[in-house]
This record gives sequence, structure tokens and C-alpha cells, in this order.
Amino acid sequence: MFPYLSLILWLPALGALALLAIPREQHQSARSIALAVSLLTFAVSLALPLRFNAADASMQFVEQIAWIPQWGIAYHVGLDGLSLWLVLLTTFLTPIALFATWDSIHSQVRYFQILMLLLETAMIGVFIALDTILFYLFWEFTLIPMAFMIGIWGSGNRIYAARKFFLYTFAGSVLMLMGIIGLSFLHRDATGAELTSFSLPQIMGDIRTGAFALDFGMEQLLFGLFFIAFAIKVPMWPFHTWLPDAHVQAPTAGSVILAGVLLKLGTYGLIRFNLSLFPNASAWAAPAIGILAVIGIIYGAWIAFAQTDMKKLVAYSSVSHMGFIVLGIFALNEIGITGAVLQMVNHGLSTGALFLIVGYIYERRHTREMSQFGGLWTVMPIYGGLALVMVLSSVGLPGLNGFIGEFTIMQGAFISPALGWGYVAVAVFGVVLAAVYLLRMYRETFMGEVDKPENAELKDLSGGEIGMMVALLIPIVMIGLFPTLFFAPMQASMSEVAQAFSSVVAKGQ
Amino acid sequence: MPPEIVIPAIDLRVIAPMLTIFAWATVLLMVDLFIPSKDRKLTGYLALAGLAVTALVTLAVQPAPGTSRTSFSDMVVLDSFGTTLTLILLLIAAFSIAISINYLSYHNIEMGEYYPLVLFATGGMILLGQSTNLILVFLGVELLSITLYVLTAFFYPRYTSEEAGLKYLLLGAFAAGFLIYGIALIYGGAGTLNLFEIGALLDTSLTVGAAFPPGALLVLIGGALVLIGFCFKISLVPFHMWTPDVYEGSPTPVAAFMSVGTKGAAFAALLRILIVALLPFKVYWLPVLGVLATLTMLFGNIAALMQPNVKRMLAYSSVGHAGYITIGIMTAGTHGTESFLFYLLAYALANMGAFAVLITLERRGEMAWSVDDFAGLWKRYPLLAIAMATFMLSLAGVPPTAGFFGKFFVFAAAWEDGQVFLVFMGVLSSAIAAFFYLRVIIRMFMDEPMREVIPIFNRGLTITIGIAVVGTIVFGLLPTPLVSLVQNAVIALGVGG
Repeated sequence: MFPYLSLILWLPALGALALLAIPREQHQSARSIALAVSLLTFAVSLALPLRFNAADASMQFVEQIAWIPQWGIAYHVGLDGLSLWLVLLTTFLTPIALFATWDSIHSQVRYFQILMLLLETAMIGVFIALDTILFYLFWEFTLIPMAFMIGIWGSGNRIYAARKFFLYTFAGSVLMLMGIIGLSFLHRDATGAELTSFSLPQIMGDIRTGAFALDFGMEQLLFGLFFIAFAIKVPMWPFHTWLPDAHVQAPTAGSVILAGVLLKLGTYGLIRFNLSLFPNASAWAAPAIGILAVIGIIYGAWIAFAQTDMKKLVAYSSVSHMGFIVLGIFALNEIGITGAVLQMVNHGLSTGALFLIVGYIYERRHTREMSQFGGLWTVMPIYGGLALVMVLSSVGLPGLNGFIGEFTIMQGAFISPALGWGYVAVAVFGVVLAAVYLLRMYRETFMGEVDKPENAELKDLSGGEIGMMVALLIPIVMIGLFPTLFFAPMQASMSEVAQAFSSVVAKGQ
Repeated sequence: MPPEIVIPAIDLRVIAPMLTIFAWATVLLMVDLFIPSKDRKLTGYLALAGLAVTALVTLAVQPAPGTSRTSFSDMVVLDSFGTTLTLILLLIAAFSIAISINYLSYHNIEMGEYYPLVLFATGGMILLGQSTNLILVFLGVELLSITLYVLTAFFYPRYTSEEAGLKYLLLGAFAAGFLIYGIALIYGGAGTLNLFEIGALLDTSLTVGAAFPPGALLVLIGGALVLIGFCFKISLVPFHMWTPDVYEGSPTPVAAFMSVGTKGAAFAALLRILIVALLPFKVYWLPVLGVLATLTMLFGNIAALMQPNVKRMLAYSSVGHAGYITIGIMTAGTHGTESFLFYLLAYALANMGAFAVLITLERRGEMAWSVDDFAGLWKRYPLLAIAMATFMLSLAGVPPTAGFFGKFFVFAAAWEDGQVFLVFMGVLSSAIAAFFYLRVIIRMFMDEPMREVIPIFNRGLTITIGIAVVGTIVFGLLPTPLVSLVQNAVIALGVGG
């Protein structure tokens, strides 16, 4: 079989290598090559949904090559309904982010492009790795390019933000490493195998068949080790404090990738590891995690409401929105989890778009304070119109993508025996608050009179900027109007994840 | 009729690597007299050649995995663990000499004795890795230490160097006292100094009766004193006090050599003592070493956090790494030994590289290794900055570097041995350690230069840094050949076993 996944995975890294050959001063050619490589990757990745067999719950496009055979560690990649759209989200957002650097990154351009491409490889790697060590390798490697992007090309307090980002996530991931080691040794001892296995499908399969049963205390410990790593990445309240710093200081392209894809690594991990490997512990922890998620929803929204800096506002709105996704995941039923996965894609698209919108105005005015603006609609009508659509998508207007995701999540949480209506009743305020703070931002910047002379002469969006927005609009509207198209390939895999809980959760009642 | 004197069969192959390096060092000492002082570098190159010849000899006598040879009344053993270690130690020595050659002349401390001394110390390390008799262990420790007393004080007009030599001498003498007293007690209790025999004796005497035989008690006390002696050498907390001062004062290549070579050899000898002789006492030494390892990892890394001086930071970081290596040797069951060797090599590459970068920035007559000198290095010397970043990431254990797999194997071995708490402390202290390694990276890449610092490059430094970077990344992506190598490194648990 044609190795689609390896091709998609390594194309950006090869592109990064090729960029090293470009002379340092040739900014324009570095930008073009990076963009071309990422567009090519996206084009190849389009083959994935076309060739994906929606009825098959198991891993597809699998490639497996021995890597460290002495330890049972392999280069093992594959794709299922959970990772399919996330890989596409990555290959889709990377060219957009790269295109956004055209006007915003002017120093050391070549290196920025190299880091972006390396980051793309690492992110795709996280989504498709089926070997836990391979997963960890890619997981950790996402840190380095992102920390450098924030630290070198960021604004203001960039070094503090880069350090905080790196250390928070690293602290979480070393705990996960302990979990990975423990999981494989317990699996080896339980199955009586001679070698340790780090293969996720193998371990997962043995858990589902009962060949590998964890003692409940150990299951809780391992669940905790993985959970902390992922909760920091999501980030869930109270592990979220690195996020506003990182977002605000990062260059626009970095923010787009950070919000669009990197945060999803956390929620992806929650489903792939915590839910699939530790169903009993998940059911045990779900009510508590649900409470954290709801606190995150309300807290993020509340703090977002208090912001005067637009980028900070969008950053805190991420905390709130990611809370919804976690709530859907820990509903522990098919509807909730499916909604959460779709909402991951939605959040990537909408928040990515919002960061671009903030980025456009920042490049023109070098400020993001809402009070500095007002009446932008009359000066920049195209910008105003596109921004409105993106804001509404994030708010959850029916007909756009956000609505579908949030609605499904709340439906899942409502009928979930692990959570229930109480969670939804509080979470729904998050939706209301989202409308309040996002529309307030819109009103203060776009509506009213042009009261600042600096704003009167602002140029409307350029062709390239409009192009990026339109590219983002296509999937946003598509998901809003034809959600089944996107739900269908997920169904089989998600129902398998949820299956494990139908007995566990019922037992707990 | 006089008693017949039986001379035990001597198998020179067993000590062939040591013979080669000692002979070479002795001859080199004399040859050096005839080398004009302006060509002093030639001595260095000859020493490198000696290391290469020793490596070839080691490869030639290398026993098949799982087999071993003993000789000199079973005082020395040649097993695949010993030869693998020897090769790693020779690599470390070669790096140390390569980064010394121009360093010595640049700082006006070029003397021909330097290189033979490094060779003697390396020979002492090889002896430590191969001896199966406590007296030979002592001999190895002393051979190593005495040459290092000289080497640490080699930076003649610099007071801190003399202070380092004196400090190291005093604490070394103290440690030697513990060591020899412990050995005497063990001899009193067991009636033998041979590790195999001590192990067999303890095995039988402890399993037969429930009562603790008095001889075994003596061995236990002696073993504890030996352990203390080794703790000084491998600088486990709270026996580490000398480390930062000695490393800071010594010539930088010597500090690099000590931080990986001395430690590696002392760890190897300790590993052999624990596994071959004192394994029946595992219930006693395991918790003690566990506590020491935990303290070492936490304290070493926390102290490194506060250091604005990169050389001192690396000294404290080497204390921290000693903690991780201790976990490896504690759990020397199936995976502990190999994780120890893997970790040692990964750590040697990264640490040697980091010290080599330090040397490029070291100014004549100056003793500052401030982290400020690294500020903005990326803008002026991108390759040097990338190399240093690679070493820092490897020391922190971030993939894809060899350091990550080193940590992974150590933690995996510990989990397999049931030391879940140690794994937890290990990952916790790695998270702390990331702080100060990251600080260097941040200064290099994200800050503006503080003052004009022009690095000095020469062939030895460039090659060392190059090999270290390539090794760190290649073994980080493809550790498979190295894993096979260390997996075949089996410790001989019995004579001819």
C-alpha cells in the first residue's frame, strides 16, 4: 500500500531540510518554498478522507517498521476516525499560518519557516503515532519549535512566555513518560510476553479483550499521570495560566497554530489514552473532571469579558471553549465524544481565524487595545464583514460550525449518566457569555463612529488576507450546513471508544 | 622439602587494554623529554594515538557476549561489560585530550606531563571497571585519584586551580580512608577480598540459618564504609560538597574528563561490587541508595538552578546526573546494567560537548563563565548555539536526543525493578532540571548580546563538538545499534561464567 501517512508526516520535515539550502537573505524564496511544501502536504492529505473506510473502526493506512526491536518499540503509524480530521486540520492550518507570516515576520525569515514545517511534522506525528514512545517523541518535539517561535519572534514579554510554555508542558509530559513506561511493563507482566510492547493497538486490544486487566489503584495512578500531561496542554482550569502569556506574546502565525492545533493535542490524548486505556478510572474521575471543565468554561468566559486587549480576549475564550470539549469527552458517550472531536476542529478553525483577524489589525496599528478602535466597519468594510462571520462562528450561530459542536456536546453531557443536566445548566452560561464578550469586542472595534484619526486611513484587507479568510470560511460553512459529512467517518471509531463505557458507567450507577 | 610454589596461570589477554595504555603512557613520558617545547602538541597527538591503539587492543581481546575470562588468581576479569565500558572511557579520554591540545598552549600551561597523566588516569578507570578484587578496586581508585590531584591543580598560576587540587586531595584522602577501612572489615568478615567469593559466601551464610552470622555483619558494615568512599567519588549528595569548587577551579578539559570519566568508572566498580559481592544485601543497600539517589537528583538540580556561572551549573548538573545513574546501577537486573552504559555514553557525549563549547568561550586570564556570555550567541555563531542547545536538550532529556533515551532506559529499568517511587522522583527532578538547561538556550537564542565574546575554534574542539552533536542526535533518533551494544555487555557473575 502507498505510504500516505509517512509521506504526509515527513514532507514538511524534508521541506525544512531543503530550506537550509536557501541563502539566509532570500526571505521571499524561503516563504514561497515553505508555503509550497505545506500546500503540497495538504494536497496529499486530501487523499485521506477520500480513501478512508468509514465503516471500519480499526486503524487504517497502518505502517509498521521495527525501530528498537529489543524493547518492542516500533515506527508504527495509523489513522482512525479520531485522528482523521485532526490531521486534516493540521495540514490545512499550517499553510494558512505560513501565509500569515508573509507580512508579519521580517527577521530570520528562513528559520521561522523551518520551525513551522518541523512543527507541522511533529503535530501530525502526534496524531498518527500508534507507538507510545513514538507518540512521546513527537509530543515533546512540538515544544521546541513553538517555544522558539514565541521566544524569538514574539512581542513584549516573549522570553517569559516561552519559558513558561516550555516548562509547564515539559513538567506534564515527563509524568506522561512515567505513565508510558508503567503501562508497558504492566502489560508485559499481565500478558506474560517476553518483550515489552509499546504498541497502542496491542495494549488497547488486550484491555478490551480482558487479557490485560489493571488493578484499580494502578489504573487510577496511570490515568492521573496521563491526565495531568494532557490537562496542561488543553489547558484545563487550573493549569491554564501559561496559555494567555504564550498566546499574547506569540507572533500571529504561532497563535494560529497554538490555538488551532497544539491545544488539540491535549484533548486528542485524553480520548486516545485516558478514555481508551483506562475506562474504569475515566468513569471514576468523570464527575470531577466535568466540574473542572465547567469551571474552565465559566472562568475563561468571565476573564475574557474583562479583557481590553483583543488577543488576550481570544486567548481566554480558548480556555472557555476547550472546557466544552473536555466536557464532551468526559460525557463518556458516543454523542458527547463525537461532538468534542468535531468541536476540536471547529475551535481550530474559528479561533485560528480570530487570531488572524486580531493579527491583521495589529499589523496596521500596532496595538490590540479595543479602546483604540471603533467604527472600523466604515473604514474597512470587507474586514468588518469577515470578522463578523468569524465571531458568529465562535459564538455558535446555527448554520455555522460552532453551533453543531456545542449542541452535540451539551446533548451528550445532558444524557450522560456520568455528568447529567446540572453540568449542562451551568455550561450553557458559557455560551451566553461567549456571545456577550465576543459581540462586545465586535461592537467596540467595528461599530460606532470613527473617533480616532489614526483609524480613518486604514487600508482594507489585501487580496491575500481575504484569501486566507475565505479558505477558512469554506470548512466553517461546510461543517455548519453538512455536519453528517464530517460525523460519518468518526462514528465507527467513536462508538468503539464509547462502547467500553456502556457497561462501566451503568455498573457505577 | 620446601613447599611447592604454584604460580597461577596468567592470561595476559585479560589485562591487555591496561597493559597497552600504561606502557604507552610510560613511554610517552620519556619520549616527551625529546620533543622540543614548541612541538609540545605532538605529545598530545601521540597520546591520542595511544588511546586508539588501546581501543583496537580492547576490540581484539573482547570476549563473546556472556562469556568472560579471569586471571591473576581471579583478581581481574575481562567480560563484555568491562570492554564496553573501556571503549566508552577511551572515547571520553580522547575527547578530553582533543579539547586540551590548544587549551593548554593558549593558557600557557602547556607541559608534556599532562597527556601521560590523562592516560594513566584512564588506565586506572579501566582497572576499576575490570577488577574483581577489592584491593585492585582500591588500586584503581588511587591511581585515578592521584593523577587527578595533579591534573586539577594543573592551572598553575590560578589560585582556584590550586585550591581545587588541594580540596580534591583532602576529600580524596578522606574517602580513601573510608574505602580501605571498609575493605579491611570485609576481609575480616569474609576472609577474602575476591568479589565472587564474598558473594558466594554471603549467599550460603545468609540462607542457611535465620540468625545473622557475625562475619556477615562485619561485611555489611564494611560494605557501608566502601559505599561511603564511593559516594565521594561519584559525588552523591551529601558527599558532593567538593564537586562545584573542584570543577570550577580545574582546567576546563580536566573538569570535563572528571565529570564523565571518573564518575563512569567509579560507578562501574560500585555496580560490580553491589551485583557480584553484595547482592544478598540488596535489602539493605537498595533503600539507602534510593534515598541518596533521590537527594542527589533533587539537590543537584535545585542547586544548579541558582548558578549564574555555567561551569558551576554544569558541575551541579553532573551531581544531578549522578543520581540518575545511581538508579541505573541500583536496578542492575536485566535492564539496569544496559541502562547505566547507555546513560553514561549519552551523558558523556552531551557533557563533553557542553564543556567543549565552554572552552571556546573561555578567555585567557579570565575565570568568568557567566551565562551572560552566551547571550545572543545564536545571532553571531549559529552553529555553536545549535550545538550547545543540542547538548542542553540532551542533558535535560528532551527528545530527539540520546539523553532522552538514556533517561527512558533508566526509568524503565527502575520501574521493572519495582522502584515506582524512584521513577516519580526522577521525572520530577527532570522537570526541575529543564529550568536551567532552558535558561542557557533562552540566553543564546532569545537575548541580545551582552558583551563582545569571540569564540576560539580549533580542530580538536570542532571535531569534538561535531562528533558529540552528531552522536547525540543520531542516537536520539536511532538508538538501536547502541542498545544492541549495551545489551551484549553482560557482567560476569562468576569465574569463567
